[in-house]
Amino acid sequence: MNNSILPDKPSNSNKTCVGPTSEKAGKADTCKGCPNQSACASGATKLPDPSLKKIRARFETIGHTILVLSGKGGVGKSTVACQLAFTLASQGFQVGLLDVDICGPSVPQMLGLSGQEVHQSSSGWSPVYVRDNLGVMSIGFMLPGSDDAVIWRGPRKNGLIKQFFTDVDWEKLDYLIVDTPPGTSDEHISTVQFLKDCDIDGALVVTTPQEISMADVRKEINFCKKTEIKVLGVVGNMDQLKIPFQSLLFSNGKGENITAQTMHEISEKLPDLLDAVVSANVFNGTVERGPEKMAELMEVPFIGYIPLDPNLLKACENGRPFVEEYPKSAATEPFLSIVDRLKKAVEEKTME
Amino acid sequence: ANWRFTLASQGFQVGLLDVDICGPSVPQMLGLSGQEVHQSSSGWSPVYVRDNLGVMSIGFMLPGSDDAVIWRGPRKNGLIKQFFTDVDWEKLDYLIVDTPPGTSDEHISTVQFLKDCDIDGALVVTTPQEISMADVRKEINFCKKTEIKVLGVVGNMDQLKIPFQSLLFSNGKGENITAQTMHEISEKLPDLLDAVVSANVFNGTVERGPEKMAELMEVPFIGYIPLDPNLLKACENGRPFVEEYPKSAATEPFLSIVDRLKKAVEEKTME
Repeated sequence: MNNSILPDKPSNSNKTCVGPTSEKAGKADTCKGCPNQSACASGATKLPDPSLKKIRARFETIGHTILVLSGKGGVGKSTVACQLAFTLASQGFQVGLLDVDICGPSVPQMLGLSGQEVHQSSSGWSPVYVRDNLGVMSIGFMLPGSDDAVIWRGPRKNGLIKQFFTDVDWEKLDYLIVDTPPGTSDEHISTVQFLKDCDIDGALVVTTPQEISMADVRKEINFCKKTEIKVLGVVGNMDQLKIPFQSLLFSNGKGENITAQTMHEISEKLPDLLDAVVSANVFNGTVERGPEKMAELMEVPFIGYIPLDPNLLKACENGRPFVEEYPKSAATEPFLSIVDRLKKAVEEKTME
Repeated sequence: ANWRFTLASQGFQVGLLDVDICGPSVPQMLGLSGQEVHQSSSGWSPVYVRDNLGVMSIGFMLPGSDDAVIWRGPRKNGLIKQFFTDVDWEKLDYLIVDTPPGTSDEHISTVQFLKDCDIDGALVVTTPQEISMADVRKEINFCKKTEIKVLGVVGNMDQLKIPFQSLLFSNGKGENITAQTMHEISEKLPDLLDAVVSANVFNGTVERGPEKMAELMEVPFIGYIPLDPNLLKACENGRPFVEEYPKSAATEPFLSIVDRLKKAVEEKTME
């Protein structure tokens, strides 16, 4: 791990601080006059954090760890993370889902777990179980009122994320999915630091076709490269909208709803139209197949598109497993194919 | 970013400050990718899109635009402070501050640094999904706690509204049969070709959710913006949406929202 990417320079350190974990800590020329100089020189700051050992022990019983990342908010990352967890669980695996989005934890609601609480036992914090084989941990469970804003600065968030990793008793898992907030910030840095001895399999990176979100995702991929996290796959979410013709609404020039009349006319003159499936480009970027081409350019695998499918969104709103409840919806096959490719990518990495 | 374009095209002197340190999309959305910030004796100069629209963003200061900005709280804090102390905006009618999503360091810092500067208030953007509304309730509570007035809530990405002719048809085998289908329609039901269709994409479980939520939280709801591919295209290309697509689905709704926002700001000034 390249430590220069993850500096822990105290805020009161000298401008050219070498970092408390550097070999020269406390002894470099630039340390003169710094209030932390003697602490650094004593070697105390270079001791490995004892929590890392504890975390490593927890992760002994966890098979594969996958981070779900996105460069930007609103690309459907939590939707993908939650439905990935649901799908793996319905395929018989033992799955854990950890939500480290401390300021916007959407995971509990997306799994139908709003209002649940976390229980403590002698072996640690227990995840909240959606099913026997799907356990979830999120700060969402620990907030007094679910509308309370979590306004914490970096260090406190850091402390909580550390506790998630040291204290949650996942027991034995085949897969741990870690849902992160968008971007590259404290939560990501902390997660990567705490799990550095735990062999993260890699990251699933979610993007949408818009150039804006792809610009952010290139940054995200660069973050993975710098922190040596393998990109298992890029997913192009919110691709074309695919819906049954019959779910369209028609309005006239005055904005009045004329759907009923229009559908009636169609049933008389062009009945086949009623069974059609229509697509519409909503979020298209300026480049066709943008996410795929971007992954190619960044030399990471592209593992599939998920069309905009109102049923997928409905499933998430209601905390339901999408693939089980909508086996023939527009996004079902694409999603299953992506889960499949992700599993293969994880197997390949294990064999490296 | 399009708010700023609209206010500028209405003749106001506008500044846009992007404090989204880790995901600065503002430069690209205004067609300013690759521009640099200049320093003068009076401070940092914003980058001008037009004479009356100046922009400041960390996006201008990153060496390669794909570099990840991986900073912890204190360093971000320092940069945001510099944005506020060192940028020379000169005279402005409106300063729009774009923030990252959620309630985090950048928000806390911004509020702290500007506490003596009389922020008029906040425009809160949400979508119909229950998930995003849950987060926005938190955002509104943050405003209440920090005594920032909520000038208005906007329900973005409402129904998709597009011309019938932009639909694509596929058959049972997934083959594109749009051309044949449109031809048949032109023969048997030609009026259909001129229709505008809507589709619910992001609907939440509650109808008119954003509006009801604003009511519940006792803050003003100032309008819906339909999902409009032209709006997205304008942002992709850094273009002013209202100027370039005067008759698109989202144009009127958007102008109405800008109008209500201006009124809300004036009312606050008179308080």
